[in-house]
Amino acid sequence: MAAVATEWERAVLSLLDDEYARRILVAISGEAKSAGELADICDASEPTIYRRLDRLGEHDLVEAQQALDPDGHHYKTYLASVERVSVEIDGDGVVIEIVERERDPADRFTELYEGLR
Amino acid sequence: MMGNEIASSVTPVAGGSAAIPLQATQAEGGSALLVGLVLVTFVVAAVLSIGIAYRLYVGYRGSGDRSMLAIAVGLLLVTTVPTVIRIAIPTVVGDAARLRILAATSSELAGLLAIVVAVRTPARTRRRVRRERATILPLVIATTVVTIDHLVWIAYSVTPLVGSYVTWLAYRGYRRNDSAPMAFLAMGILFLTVVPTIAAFGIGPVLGASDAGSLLAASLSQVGGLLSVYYSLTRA
Repeated sequence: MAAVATEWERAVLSLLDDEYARRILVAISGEAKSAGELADICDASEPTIYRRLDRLGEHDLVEAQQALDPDGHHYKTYLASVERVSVEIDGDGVVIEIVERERDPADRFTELYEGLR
Repeated sequence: MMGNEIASSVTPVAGGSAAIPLQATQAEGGSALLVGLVLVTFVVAAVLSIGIAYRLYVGYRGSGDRSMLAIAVGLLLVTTVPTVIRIAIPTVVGDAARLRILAATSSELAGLLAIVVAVRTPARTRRRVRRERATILPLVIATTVVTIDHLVWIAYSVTPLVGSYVTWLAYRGYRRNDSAPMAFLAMGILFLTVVPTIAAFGIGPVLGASDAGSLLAASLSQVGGLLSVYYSLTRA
């Protein structure tokens, strides 16, 4: 069987090849952060961070969340939703597997409910 | 059967004005005072549930987050919708009464399930496998005849169980994140979905409470729950 990568597979692999995208994923693997915080951590401009976040989000590697600042304004934070990516090669072709992170439902409930208030 | 118990937990009164939402004026062992209190709880519940619906709408508006929408709709189905059903269907006797219970309890169950689905994000595996596999699903068609009594019984037993789970989730959310709103939300869900059933089937008959007394206990629990959710959405 011919091993022609799908658009999704190509996009994921090229994203993981990008250094900023990898740094972002590492920074938000355990704790959600805003684009501003990510710009500081990754030593990049905010537009650079937003471009990567958009692409990561499009391919379900990152999840955006609502947060409230002390003045009561909504802003977005981002959390990596991917835990592991594996590439398996056999005679039939390449299989890419993405394993998403499991989160405590109580924390997710709290975060969503506080976003609603 | 369970359904009959439910119907008889509120003693019927024939005739009377249909404009009065609750016709329990001559409920067995119920005084006019108890009935009056039940009517007051209905009014308070109506006001609170409208307030909750408004806060949920304002909270969700413009966020565009699908999980937040699920939580908002879920809470609406647990708070406002059952309250409206209880007030809008005045009958407390016969098939209509069972339908009323079924509608209110099913709404609560649907709301609780929407919340559970929205907050649970189990480790999913996205696989892009090129090999095609044909799957033949065994198709089982249930031929059991389901009566309204069965449905009432299912809704009545499953709702408190799911309600307990959501209460526990909210309580853990409060403990883990030190979030006061979650503490009041946990209390609200407990009083809305778990306590009324216990009052109706457990404590009421055991203590030998009158029908009107049991009804008042359930109504007070619902009002307490609505109050707790409203407080959690606004001030906590």
